[in-house]
Amino acid sequence: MEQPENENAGSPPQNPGEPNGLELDMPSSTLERHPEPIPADSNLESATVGEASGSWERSGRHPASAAILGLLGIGVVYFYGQSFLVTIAMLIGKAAHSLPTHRTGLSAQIIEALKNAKVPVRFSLLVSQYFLMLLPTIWLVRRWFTADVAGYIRFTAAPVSQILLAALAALLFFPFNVAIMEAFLRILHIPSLVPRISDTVFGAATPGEFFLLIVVIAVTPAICEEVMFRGFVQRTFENVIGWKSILLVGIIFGLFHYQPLSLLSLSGVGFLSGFVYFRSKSLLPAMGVHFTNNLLAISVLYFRRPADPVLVITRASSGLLLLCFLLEILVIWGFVHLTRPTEQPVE
Amino acid sequence: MEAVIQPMELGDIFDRTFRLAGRLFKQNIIVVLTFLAVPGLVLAWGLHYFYSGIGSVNGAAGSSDGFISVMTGLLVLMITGGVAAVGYLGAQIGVSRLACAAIKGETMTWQDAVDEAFSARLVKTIGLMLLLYLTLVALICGAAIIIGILSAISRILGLIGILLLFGAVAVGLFLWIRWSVAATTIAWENRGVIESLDRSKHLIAGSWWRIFGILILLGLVIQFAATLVATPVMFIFILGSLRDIFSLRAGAPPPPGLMESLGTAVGVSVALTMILESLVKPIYLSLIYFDLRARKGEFPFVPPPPAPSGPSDHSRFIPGSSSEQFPENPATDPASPIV
Repeated sequence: MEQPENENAGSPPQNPGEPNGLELDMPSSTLERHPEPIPADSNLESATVGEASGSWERSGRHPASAAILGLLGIGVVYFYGQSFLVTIAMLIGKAAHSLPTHRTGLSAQIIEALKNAKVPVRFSLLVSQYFLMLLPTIWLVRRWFTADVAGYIRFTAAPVSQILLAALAALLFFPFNVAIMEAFLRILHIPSLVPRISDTVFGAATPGEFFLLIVVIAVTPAICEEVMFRGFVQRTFENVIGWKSILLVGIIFGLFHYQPLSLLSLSGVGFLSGFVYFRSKSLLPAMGVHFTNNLLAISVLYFRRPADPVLVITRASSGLLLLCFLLEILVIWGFVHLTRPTEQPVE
Repeated sequence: MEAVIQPMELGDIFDRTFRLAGRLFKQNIIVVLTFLAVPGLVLAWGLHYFYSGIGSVNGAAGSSDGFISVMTGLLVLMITGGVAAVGYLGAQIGVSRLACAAIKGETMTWQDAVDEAFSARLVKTIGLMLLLYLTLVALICGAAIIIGILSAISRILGLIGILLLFGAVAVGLFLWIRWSVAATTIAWENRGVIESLDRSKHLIAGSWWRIFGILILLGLVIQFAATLVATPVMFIFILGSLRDIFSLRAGAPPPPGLMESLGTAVGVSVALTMILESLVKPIYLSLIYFDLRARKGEFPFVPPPPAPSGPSDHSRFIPGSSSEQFPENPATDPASPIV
């Protein structure tokens, strides 16, 4: 085993309860061991989550290393796998497009569907989210930390009021996302072709297709991405850097989408989602945030006026933004108030 | 005090890579920027110049001026690339020195690391890299020449000859893994080039597949992390050109500054990737190096501490927790046999 260098070790935390930050100091004899228990802080979960039996914990390895390795490892699997799936799906779609159209029945409908490029993309997204993101995350948590995966990622019940407030916060935040995107489109003179490409992939022409999009674009990422980013990564980083994990994981969430134009807005959604997860100690409000944001995005595409020549997103006026900002503050305050730690009755 | 070094599992190597990267970050970033800040900018300029040369071909299509521009750009790129490569190797040596010292429990400052990198080690490492790349190029080119000769004889022989190319790639991969810790050997033990190749071969003997798996996994992970950071940075540098592109009318020639800004974006992205890799890659190579040495019995064996009984407590991951059950340093445990 390695002997840590006292000279190079990070300075011991000034506050005993304060995490070390990202320096990942190796535990050493210089690390303070406190005779008194750490002061109770409901925002720093110290309770056990079932019996920890994971290989990472048994070996005494640092949790931040697990979070970093898991994040990057799943990222590699997800992006390479999704690229492969999209390539295969597009080849299938292209092959189907060249087939004669005199077929009838279900196969004709299937062939017709395959002709449309958006179907392979949506299918590959669905498959990659569940099989290349959700399942590896669950496997890693189970292997590295505990068999009680649901407990670890905090997939636990939450008051309906918290979930609704979280969704409302996402609703009020949506116009800001729209404003940021509009600004980029205006500044860069991006032609209508570019948003219409995403409209083709993420827009629905019929109610049935809209419902399918809700499942693919709203429900699926709300489950899979929240389990990974908040349930696994943020939850693990919270053990090390506490509330700062909200900011870190929010930025990583934005970077992971590989959309520079949407980096700010995606990171904003990540911050909001991480905040409600941190405060509520449950994954459901965070899922509510993600679901609401994505549902709004595809709803705007579906319910927009056909005559709208350029934009596939609604225009946000400054008055609306100001109102949403004020309401957002109110909602956030309400959420903080709802999730404040309750004092234990004195016996 | 000399640290006790034992064979590590895959998870240990991952864990300690990130721990050391965090713990030595301040020193490493100083060392890396010392060696790579200026060469990185030089490389970015070289790529900018190269792409500009390509862009100028549009205006000089069919004339010799375009050809001269491209060849000049290529020459400048090779020179600036060489400068950046030397800086990259210097950074690798410096970070390797710091990482190895930390693993061994020794004290080393970033000044020491920089001084020792600016020494015969740098020359030897350059020689090592030249030897490695020339070997790989010779393998590939040799196979290509043979394929060409066979193809000239008959098409079928040419197709069979393509198997040679796959064989050359396989041999190259085998040698790359076998010699993967030679640079670390030079950095830490200050051996000669041929001696370090032999040493690397000796250390990796019997562990080739294991090291191959570790290097591939860590390489993919680190590369992915670098692209996450480099992509938005690259986007910022091509922002102006995007606006020009989207403002173009149909059939209009591309704006003159497009290739230049693209070259700058690529150059900055490459420099940033080199810096990010230099912060992590030498660390895990150093850990692999010491792991292999431990597996060869170069360090005294110490039995692992007994597994704790009872349920584990999550609170041990909170710094300062009194319930820490897996101390990193068993030497501080009074019951440990290590003194």
